[in-house]
Amino acid sequence: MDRSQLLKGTTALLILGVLKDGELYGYEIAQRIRERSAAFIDPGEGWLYPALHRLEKQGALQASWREGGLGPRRRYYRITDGGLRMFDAQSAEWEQFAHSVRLVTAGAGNV
Amino acid sequence: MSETTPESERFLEAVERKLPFAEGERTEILDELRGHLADCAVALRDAGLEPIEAERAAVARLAPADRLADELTRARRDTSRLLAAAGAGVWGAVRGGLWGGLIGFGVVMVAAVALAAANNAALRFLSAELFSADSGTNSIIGIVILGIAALVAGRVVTPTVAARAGYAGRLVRRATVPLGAVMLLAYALLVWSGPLNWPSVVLLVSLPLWWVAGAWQIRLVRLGFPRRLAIGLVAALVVSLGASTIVGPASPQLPASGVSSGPGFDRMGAPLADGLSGAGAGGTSYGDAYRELSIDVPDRGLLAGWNDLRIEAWRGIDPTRGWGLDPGETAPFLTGPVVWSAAGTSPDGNHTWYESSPWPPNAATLTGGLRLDRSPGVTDAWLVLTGVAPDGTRHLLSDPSGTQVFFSGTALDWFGAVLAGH
Repeated sequence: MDRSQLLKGTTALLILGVLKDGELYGYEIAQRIRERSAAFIDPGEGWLYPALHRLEKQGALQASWREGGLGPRRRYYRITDGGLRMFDAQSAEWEQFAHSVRLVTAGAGNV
Repeated sequence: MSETTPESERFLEAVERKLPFAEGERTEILDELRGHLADCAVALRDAGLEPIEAERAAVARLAPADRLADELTRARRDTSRLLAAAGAGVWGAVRGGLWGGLIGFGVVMVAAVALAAANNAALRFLSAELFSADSGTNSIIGIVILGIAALVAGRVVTPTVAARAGYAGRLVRRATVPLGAVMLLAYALLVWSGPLNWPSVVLLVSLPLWWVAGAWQIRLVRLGFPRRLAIGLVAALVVSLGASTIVGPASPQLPASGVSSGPGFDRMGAPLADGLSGAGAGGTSYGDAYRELSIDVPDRGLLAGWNDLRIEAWRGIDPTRGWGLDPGETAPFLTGPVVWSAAGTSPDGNHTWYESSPWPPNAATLTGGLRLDRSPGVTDAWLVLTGVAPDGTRHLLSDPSGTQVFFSGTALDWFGAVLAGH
């Protein structure tokens, strides 16, 4: 199965999920998702920044620049109250979806 | 932390080229991506890749530059940006128009001063004027300034709207070019009003083209012209625009009164009717447009049995070539009715005049008036009162009166008058 297709519907959920525990900048978000998924979700980062900017537009995230010590400045993202509500809603929807998929794939005997 | 390297910068430049945002917004996006590339390359080097390989891999993980830029652009679009873009577009048009107006004013003034100097030199050394101003001079100056304002506004509006809306300039141009051109055409045809001649009408209806040229950022050099030729063409354009602002017919050399037998006047009608030679004629102007001509008839009975009394306007010869009727004219270009009023009194009763002796009992004043600012291409006219005698011959009832005229109105008025045969 093409994992990038699976990723498309869950990008917001993944980002909000890692930012729920604290603010991070883009590269850290990608790394955190990779680590938590045991490198299963690692399709590259081209999808990440459009998704971050879309969530920021939607008010789910707030971004702020901070100067880096030796390196370039970083754009940190923080989840907002609206972002938390979005996470709860999407998380519940995903659980329902995954449960439904399991029911379907388990066969008629388990219904 | 390492800085980004040429491969990363090439990638970032490719992204930047596709981002239709204002510079500040582009910089923020690129800074974020630059930081990401640097972090990723460091991590990959730490994992054992060679620096060049690590950098290439970091760039590869961010997807093709075009696709990343497109997705970032889509992610940052929303309705509020479109509204902001509309506002920015209007403000950009105003700002660009004001700047363009100032530039245009400067260009026209420089050209006008240069040509005035040339005119003075010609007058001094050749004893002849090269140019003279007329009523259309200010119109052409104003329209040239408007054209340059439209050019600059056209250059400013598209990138401003594109940056605010988050759309590529070539897409935004599909909306801004026709919208601005239609608005300017409507302005040129319906709103702008003033003295017009053919050059100024052509200049006026070309306003949308100035806008289009600005919006497409048309440059002669870009079109393949050698630089010197391009500069020469622009200089020639500026000089010719300047010339057009001060070129016009010289002041007409109006003849003295009593010229009923002047050059070509016999085409207006048979000589003055008996008994009217002493009637005299007076002309009155109301503003630049309306001219009245009247005669005091010592005995109204002199015109008993006459019909089709009217005022006529005939095209005059270009005063720089002489005076009298235009040789090609065989009929008046305008006619109008006349009215009788009490002797020495204007038809509206607001003006009176007296002879040295009291008016005879049957004296009366005959007056006709014409609006002369609706005849395209006519710059000099002769007014005369005429009537058809009982024998069927049209006679002059007054001396012809020469006057300088100029079309005044909108471009639509101009085209309407041309189509109507005025």
